[in-house]
Parts: sequence; C-alpha cells; structure tokens
Amino acid sequence: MNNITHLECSLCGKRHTSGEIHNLCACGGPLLVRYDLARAKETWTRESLLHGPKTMWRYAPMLPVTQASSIVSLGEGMTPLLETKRLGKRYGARNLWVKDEGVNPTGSFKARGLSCAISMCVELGIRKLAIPSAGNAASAMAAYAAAAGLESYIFMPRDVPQANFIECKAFGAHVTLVDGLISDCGKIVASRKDAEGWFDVSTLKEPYRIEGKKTMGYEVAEQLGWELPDALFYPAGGGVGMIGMWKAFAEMEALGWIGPKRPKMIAVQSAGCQPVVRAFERGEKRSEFYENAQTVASGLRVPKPLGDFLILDAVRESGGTAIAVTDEEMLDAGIHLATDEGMFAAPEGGACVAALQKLLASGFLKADERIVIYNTGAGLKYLEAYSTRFPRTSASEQDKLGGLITPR
Amino acid sequence: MSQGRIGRMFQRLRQEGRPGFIAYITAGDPSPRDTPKLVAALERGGADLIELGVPFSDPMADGPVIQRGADRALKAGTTVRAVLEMASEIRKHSEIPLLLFTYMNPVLRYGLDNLARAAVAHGIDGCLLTDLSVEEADRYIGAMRAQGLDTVFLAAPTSTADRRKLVAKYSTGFVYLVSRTGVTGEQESIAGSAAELVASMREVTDLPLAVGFGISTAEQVRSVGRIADAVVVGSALVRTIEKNAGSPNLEANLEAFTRELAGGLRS
Repeated sequence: MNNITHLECSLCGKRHTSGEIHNLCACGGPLLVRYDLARAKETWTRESLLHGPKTMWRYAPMLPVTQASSIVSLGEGMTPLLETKRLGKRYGARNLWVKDEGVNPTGSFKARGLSCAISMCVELGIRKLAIPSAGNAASAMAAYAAAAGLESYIFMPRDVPQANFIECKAFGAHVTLVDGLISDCGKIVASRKDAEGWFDVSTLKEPYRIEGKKTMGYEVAEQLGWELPDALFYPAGGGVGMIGMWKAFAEMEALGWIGPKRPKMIAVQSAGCQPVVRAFERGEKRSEFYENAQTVASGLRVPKPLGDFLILDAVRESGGTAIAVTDEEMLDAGIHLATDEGMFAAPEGGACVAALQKLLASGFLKADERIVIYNTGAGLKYLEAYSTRFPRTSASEQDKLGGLITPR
Repeated sequence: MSQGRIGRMFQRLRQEGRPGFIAYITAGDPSPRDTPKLVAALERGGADLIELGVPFSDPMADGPVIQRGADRALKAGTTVRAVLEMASEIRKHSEIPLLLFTYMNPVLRYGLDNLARAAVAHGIDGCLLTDLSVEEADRYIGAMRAQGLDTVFLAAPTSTADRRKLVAKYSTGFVYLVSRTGVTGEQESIAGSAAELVASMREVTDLPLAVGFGISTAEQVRSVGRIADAVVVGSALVRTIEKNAGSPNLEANLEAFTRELAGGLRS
C-alpha cells in the first residue's frame, strides 16, 4: 500500500533502512522518510482520493505504514477549511480561510503525528513509549497509546493546562510533572530511556510524527482544488507542522498534483518565546536557546526547536516571514475569531490571527491574497488562559467541585 | 544559580509570582514502603520540594515529634541505603526536587564521595546537614559540587554577619533560615526575628530564602509566605503521619492537610 524506500538524514544526507527502529541520525540530524515518487505517480491519482477514508489515512500511499492492520486511527484529519465571513472584513482580508485543527481527536493537530507514530510503533513491535510534551502532544500520545494498548510515559511542565494533565491520566498514561520547560522534560526522557526500555517519541527524534503532520499540507491542497494559497500562517513551536507541510508540497509537485507555486510560509511565535523569529531576523541558519521562555500558548513554549533550520529554510525559500505577537494580542485575536466566526481557537490559532493583522497593516500581505490560517487546537483546552478574560467570582477549587456534584 | 531541579522549581515560582511550599518528612516513617506514596500525596497536595529526613539515632536539631518519627523509621529498618532506594522509587513517577536532610555522622559513615555519587544516581538534588557549620564544610562542598548536588546551609537569628555571608556564598539552590533558636517543632506564633533574618540575609544574597522551624498552621504559612520565597513545614506533617500511621486514610489525610497548608500560598 505504500511507497517508502528509505529514511534520509536532513542534516548529513545519510541513508537509513526503513522497517527498523530509528531515532536521530548518528550526526544528530532528524531523519525524513523518502518515497518512490515516480512509482507512486504511476499508481496513485488525485481522483482516487474520492473513495478514500475521511481521515488523514486517505494519503496512506505517502505515509510510512506498510500494513493496513498496523494503523491506529481515532478519525484524525480531514478537518474543515472554513472561509471566514466577518473576520476577514474586520482586518481587511477578502480571501481568508481558517483550517480548524481543533476538531481532531484530543482537540489538536497533534493527533495526526501521533496516529502515524503510534501506528509505526505497532508495526515495529514497540511496546513502551515516552514523550516530553508542552501539553497537547502528550494528550494525543496518551490517547493513541491507549487505543493501541501500549504503555506511555509522559513528562510535562508542571504548569501545563489542566486539560492536558487530566486527559493523560484518564487515558491511563504514567504522568510526571516537571519544574521547567519541554526542553527539561526532553532531557529526562533522553537520560532514562535506555534504562527503562522506552522508545523516545519526541517530535523529529522519531521520523514518523512529521509524516502524520504533513497531511495538513495534502489536505489544504485538496480542499482548495489543488491550488495552494498565497500565504499560510502557522504557529511554530517545534514547527514540525510547517516542516511537514513544506515536505508535502514537494511530494505533491513530484506526483504531478500541484505546480511549483508555494504559499508564503509565515511562522508565528510568541513574544515570550521567539527563537525562530530572532534567527530569521538575524539571517542565521539555526536558532539559539531562548532563555526564560514564557507564554500562555503552551504549544509555542519551545525554547530551541530541533528542526529550526528546516523551519527557517521553508520560511526563506517561500518568501515568507517569521513574526512574534504578545499573549495579549493572541488572546484578543482568538476572541475576535470566536465572536466573528463561531470558532473557539487555541491561543496558538489566535497568534496567527494577530500576526495576520500586523502583516496586513504593514503591507506585507495584500487584501485580495488567498490566505490560510492554521488553528492548531481547541480553545477549550486552554481555559486557564482564556479565564483571565472572562473571570467568574466564585473560583476556589472547592466551589468548582461543589458546583459540579451538587447543583446550587 | 542552580541549574538542577531545585533551581528550576524556584524559577517557576518566580514566574507564578508565589512563594513555595517545602515539606519535610522523615524517610522510612512509618515504614520505607510508605515513603514514596507519602511523597506523592505531598506533591498532589501542593508541595513544591520535599526534604527527606534521614533518620538518625541522635537528632539533636529536632524536636520531639520528628525524634519520634526517626524512631519509627529506624525501627522499621531504615538505613541511608534504604533512603536512597526510596528516592529511586519516587523518581519513577515524580520530578519533584528532593533534598536530603540529615546530620554529618551518617554521611561520614557512608563516605562523603560515595554518598554524593549514590545520591545523584538515585535522583537526589541536594543536601542539608544540620550540624555541619559552613566554616568546616570545604570537603563536603567539594564532594557535592563534583556531582552537581546543591548544598543548602542554615542561618539562624543568632548567626553573625560574617556567618551569614559564608552561608550565602556556599549555599546553592536556596538558603534555609531558621525562624528561631531551639529545635524543630510547632509553636504558637512565629518569631518576628524571622522577618529580620530574611531582611539581613537578603542584603547578602539573591538566592531564594526558605523559612522553617515552628510553622504548623495555614495562617502561619501564609504570613511567613509574605516575607520568604518558600515556607518549610516539618513537624506538623510528621505529626499527621504519626496520627494516621497504619490507617488506610494516611495518604488522603496527609494530602488534604498539605493542601490546607499550601493553599494559602496560591491565592
């Protein structure tokens, strides 16, 4: 069913055999899956998608799983791409679309990556998984591991949104809360995985999450009738969604499904954690560790993305840009999106709306360009962040519990 | 600034804009197999850091409550090695900072360098030796630093200005301020000398300052939390363990009491 040929290091180019367990290349570079695109072009057409499943697995010929029985799916992907009615008018954009990843299983785009990665764990016989996460990846891993009957070990910052903590516990994961950031969580997983026999599912440290995430790129093309938009806003924490889509665009061109046109790739970060924006502005190939990272958009709190060079490549090659917005701006914009369109977005999605506003105002984007904004998660998972805007008077923990159990 | 779990914990507290809650329990009390579960209960209740007391037959800095806790732990067969095993067990499920709280004698018997190596391997983040004065601590500090362990020293209202400077210089992670002279244990009111000590220590260091000894109620925790970066409670928790030892409600009651004490620091 698939066309995988090998894995290739994104730094040194070394080839690695598929069908084996891999993390990073010996040189430290993330591995990317390569396919026989010429063969796929002969055997797989855009038209055949009409009969495909209504999930991201409709693109299975370009995904790494070789046995259909390995697939662990909770219905991820094929999320709506909605044309905005009022939000565009508010900011002066006439052709504005939002891809709502918040409707995925566990409420974020992370479901795509973990559906793919956990399916590969099943295929390769891996039983125990560990992940450092800023929040939503942990929820998705816990859910897919539960669906597959695998054991999961999760390391998250202690102040992660309550929704993520409760979800992971409910899915039966072993959860450890850490004082620090996702980078500190990552160090713990790295230092303990050998002794514990865990497979490290950190994004890009295993080669398959990116493959799941790239389906966001296939979908936007399919949903827009195989013509990519002029600009694409993506909230870049680890940035792998953007890297994956960039890879998907190249694959689709090789398949003859789209032409050479690419959207301006716009990486959006938080003012409190903007390593990629800094590197972009300084013209550097790699980012530097961002000290004292802090933002309500937990998914953007990644002080040093492993794939920074790949994000920067995509942004530069596409003629896009990297831009930071403040927490205040992203919450304001998130509320605009909710009131104008009926979509309650994660602050990360709000960040993209805020960035759009700035780039329209600066003239970087024109009013009639076709623009797609990615909302990567559901606002319901960020009640702590939004409750600062909508406070209620009785807020003690006991009151909440009492209110739930005994109506009063 | 410490880069370990203790330093990161205090960094988080600064971002949250609240003081921390430090919980002391005697490791092995009432039995070694209870300790990891009790630490989990403390963490759920809102403790930010755990001081694990190593039970010692002659705990001269401790009051009657903690002395009885040490007796129970020793009777249950708790050794230094057993405390380290408990730390490993805790580390399977928790990243909460762990500070070994003990005396010089058990450490010397284990061997300074051996203990430092073993402590790191078992997930301990630092040590506090109540009867080691900072003037005599060179060898100890060297052994701890070599393994990346934090060294926390005590300062008391009776400490001279020179002593306070040395405590500031050789402490990492945080400084432990003793709210009054005497032994550990609960008392009715917190001496005003604690505030003075915090102020004089603040002049010589940027390290977080924790205040302990004699703090046993939520009201006291809240009032000390107004002047310190962290509040330490020991005897009141050990008394809760004593009262509930052997009861199926031990963990739940300890968690609830911790939540009551720590809750006032979060509002």
